[in-house]
Amino acid sequence: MAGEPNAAGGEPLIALRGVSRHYEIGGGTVKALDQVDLEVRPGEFVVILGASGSGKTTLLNVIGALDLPTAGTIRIGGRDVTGATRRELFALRRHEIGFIFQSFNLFPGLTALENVEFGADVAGRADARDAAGEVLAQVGLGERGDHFPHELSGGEQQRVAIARALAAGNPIVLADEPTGELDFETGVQILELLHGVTHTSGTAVLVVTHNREIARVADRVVELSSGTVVSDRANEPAALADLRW
Amino acid sequence: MNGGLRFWLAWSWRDLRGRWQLVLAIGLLLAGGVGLAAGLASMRDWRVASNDESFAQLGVHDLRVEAEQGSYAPTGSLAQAARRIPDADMIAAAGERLIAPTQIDASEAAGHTVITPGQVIGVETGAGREVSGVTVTGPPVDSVAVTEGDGLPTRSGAVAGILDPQYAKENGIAPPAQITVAGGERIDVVGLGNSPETFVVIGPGGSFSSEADYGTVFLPLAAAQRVAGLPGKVNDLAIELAPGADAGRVATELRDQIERDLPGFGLEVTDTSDIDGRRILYDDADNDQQLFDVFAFLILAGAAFGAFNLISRTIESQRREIGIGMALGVEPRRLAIRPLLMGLQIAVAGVVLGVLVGLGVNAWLRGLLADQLPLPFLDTDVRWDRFATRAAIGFAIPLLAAAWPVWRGLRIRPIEAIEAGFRSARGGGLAPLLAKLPTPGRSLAQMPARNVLRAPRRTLLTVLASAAVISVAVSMSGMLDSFRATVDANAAEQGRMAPDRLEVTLAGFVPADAPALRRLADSPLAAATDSRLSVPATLRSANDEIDVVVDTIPGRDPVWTPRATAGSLPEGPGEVLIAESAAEDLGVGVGDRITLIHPVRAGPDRFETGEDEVVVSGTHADPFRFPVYMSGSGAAAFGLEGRVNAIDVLPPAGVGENTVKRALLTHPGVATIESASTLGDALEEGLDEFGAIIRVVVGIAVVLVLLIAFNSTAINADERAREYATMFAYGLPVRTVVRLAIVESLLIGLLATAVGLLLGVLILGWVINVSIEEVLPELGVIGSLSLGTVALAALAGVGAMAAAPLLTIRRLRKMDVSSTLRVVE
Repeated sequence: MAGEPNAAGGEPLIALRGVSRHYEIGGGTVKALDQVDLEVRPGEFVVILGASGSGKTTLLNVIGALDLPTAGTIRIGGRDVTGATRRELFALRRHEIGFIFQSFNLFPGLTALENVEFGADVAGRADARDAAGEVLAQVGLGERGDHFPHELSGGEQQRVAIARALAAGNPIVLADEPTGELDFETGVQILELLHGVTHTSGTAVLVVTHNREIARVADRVVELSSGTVVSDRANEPAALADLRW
Repeated sequence: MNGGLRFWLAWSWRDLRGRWQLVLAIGLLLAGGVGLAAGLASMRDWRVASNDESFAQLGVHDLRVEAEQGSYAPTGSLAQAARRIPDADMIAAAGERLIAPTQIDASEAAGHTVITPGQVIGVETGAGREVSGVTVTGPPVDSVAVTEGDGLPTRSGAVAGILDPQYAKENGIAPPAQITVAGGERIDVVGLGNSPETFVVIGPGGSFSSEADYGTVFLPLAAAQRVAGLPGKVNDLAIELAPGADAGRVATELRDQIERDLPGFGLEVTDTSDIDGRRILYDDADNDQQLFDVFAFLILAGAAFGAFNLISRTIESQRREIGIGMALGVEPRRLAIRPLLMGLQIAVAGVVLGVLVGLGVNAWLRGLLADQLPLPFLDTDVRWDRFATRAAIGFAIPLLAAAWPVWRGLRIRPIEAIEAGFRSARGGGLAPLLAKLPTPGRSLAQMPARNVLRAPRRTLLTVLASAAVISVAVSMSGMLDSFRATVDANAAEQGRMAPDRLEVTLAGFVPADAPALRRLADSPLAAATDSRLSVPATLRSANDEIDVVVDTIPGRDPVWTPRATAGSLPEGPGEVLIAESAAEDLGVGVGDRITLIHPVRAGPDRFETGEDEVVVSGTHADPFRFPVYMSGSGAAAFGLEGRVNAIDVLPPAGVGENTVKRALLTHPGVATIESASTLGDALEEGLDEFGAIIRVVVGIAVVLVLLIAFNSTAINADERAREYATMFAYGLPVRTVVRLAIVESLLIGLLATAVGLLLGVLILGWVINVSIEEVLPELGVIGSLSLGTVALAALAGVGAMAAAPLLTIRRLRKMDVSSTLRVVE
């Protein structure tokens, strides 16, 4: 099922055509993704929803150039990356994509500000330190820049991780279960933050989750099952205050 | 319980199959330490047993009557005096000898120019006997062990003898051969062999000499007397005491009897402990073993730190599994089985491989000893008791290393152990300290230093492990540097005015205006000459008593004079210039008074012992302790006014040293001719032999550092997998990530190198000031660390550490980034 453009306009930032990812395991073939078509435009907040084993993380991986499809084409920022070299994929991640992980994956030896600066650094921003300070302030941690990850709460750590992804200034942010390790209230704050980012900076945000409640805040919900897109629909974002999980 | 144990054993076996490479790597690290420690531990036992066997089989003397230089007694008179003492029954055997310095020309036998000083030892001959494949010949006391060729000819007066095997080997001489000695006498070399006093080459005046540059020839007594130009004369009596004899009483009675029989005959009665070579062999065995023990301990400590670190880290990675087990109610002692079994596996691997390494080290050292230990009888059986103790230590280390993290793991609450994700994240260690410092560079540049400080205990263990091993390389290599610096200092002092200077020793004290000396001075092969006195003596202070050689300083236009580095050259008869190291040992300075004990000429062939108070006018920089200088007027103190026994000869420009030596050898009265740099050359040669051991130990040390670095980096790569995956996800290429790991390793390597250098310098100081000082007190070794040694330490520490991350490139390239990022632990 082809994804339809949502409220956000313009050329698609992400365009998948007939993307499959099959694995040969124990003499059989596992179809993690099968013939997936998807387009995501700037400023979209897309939730990829699915149960465990539905292929949502694999989809995030191929979009994030961490994995390559066994069939189909992927265009990121208008460029076909399906046959890209390893070096080109690394460069793509540096300049087009920012990642947010379930377990945050902050660097424990760096302060909050330095973790954010890392994102700006690798993207090649000359003003990395200033940009990091700015983004950290945006996520409400301007006063916590000198703290190390272990000195921050889970929510604060995830906000630093979001700031790190945003500081790169890349047009795509991929978030894998970003609220998975957080309590409800903190999770809502994180979603609020991501939602705000989408609409203020025009960044396309893809959030992978199995939590239907989270999907309620998205502009668009793509549902996967057994590696195929079973629904791709626009969504009227619910008020964050209405969320429950 | 049995079923339960089987379960844990089966699980542990699966663990082993999964990480056998790590177990093997840590086992190898331990094996290096255990093997080197076990292998080196046998050295003292071997050397002492070989010394005991060699000295016993050759009937080393219990007492020895040594005539003062220039004193001789008629053949038979010393033996007769021994038979006439009141307690003659305390003497089991006695043999007279004539020991005379000479010059040896062995060029014909060697096939290349070999003209060196040496000595002729005339001994009584007797029937030989076979002991363990070695023919023991000559007198019953201080016999000669013939290791090749024939024994001493029993036909009295035959000019056929036995040559020192070390001299022969170094110069490529094999019997039968012919050599020429001072005076032009030719000697048939029928065999190779040595006696207890010549196991270690001791040159004239008690100085050591190189094996290639000082030869000993054993001849029948009559032949030796003829060759030395001393017919019917002897100057030495070797005595074997009967069991239970009172050595002190016999020595006193001997002195009294000889004084009665040969009035004015200057002599000294010494015992076995005065044999310099024997003292060096035993002291060397003890001191070398101390040194080896220190090195082995450090290597073992390095391996222990490394193993402890790596095992702790590996077992800590099982923290969650232990926590889950605790949550499921498994008894702690059962939970401890699996990680402890890992320690056991490493212990077994370390000990089994360690014993193999030890046997290899043993085999290598056995060959080295057989080649370099100058003893006819060797006992180098494997010392299993030494192996057992080192193996026990090697076995205990991994078990202890495993016990500590297991104990820690079992003490925490299960909930803490099973926490995943950010809640399980550890603190930043000491990294926050660095964050407070204004350090240059962006976030990426900050990472390596922060990572070093993030886990200070681990960093410390890695640093200590590497530093311990590096310190071995530094101190051993530093010993070579120090000996080289000492040789250079000697060469700088002795070769200062005339580097080609030859020192000619005369057979006796001759008038300074003797025609023979004039002929020598007028020789076209002598551009300049200086004659002087050279007399063995003793300096005594309240602190110490040391053996020295006193040389008088020539007057006008000398070929060479010493240089005072403090004070001034001696001017009056009661002044001496002594070595800086002698002044230090004696505890005196410029202007202080010391006692000079020296021979005083009492008549032709007769010397007595005299004592004088002298003033230290200054000190010189020669690293050898024994050179002492007096002004020419000092000769009066020895009763030798107007007489000389040594000449400095400066060869004409363009004339080679050997040409001059060969020409001077034919001059009557010339005993020995040697280059002024002979002592330095002897040290240099000794260095080459010692260097073999040093190079192997240094090589093992470097390999161990590599192992420590690689193991540490490999485990780091596992532990940091999620951080690396995050970097890859953000598009950092593998090379950048590896570069960060290299910089981190480099910093640890720098720390390890700095600590290793510091520790190495401390050990070197101990070796020089304590160990070598005991064995070679006459040598003031100058502590030195060359750039090469520092570079070696840097190569071992910084280089190996920095290179280790390169070995993880393949693993990083093959990393499943996506899966790694989702690992919750």
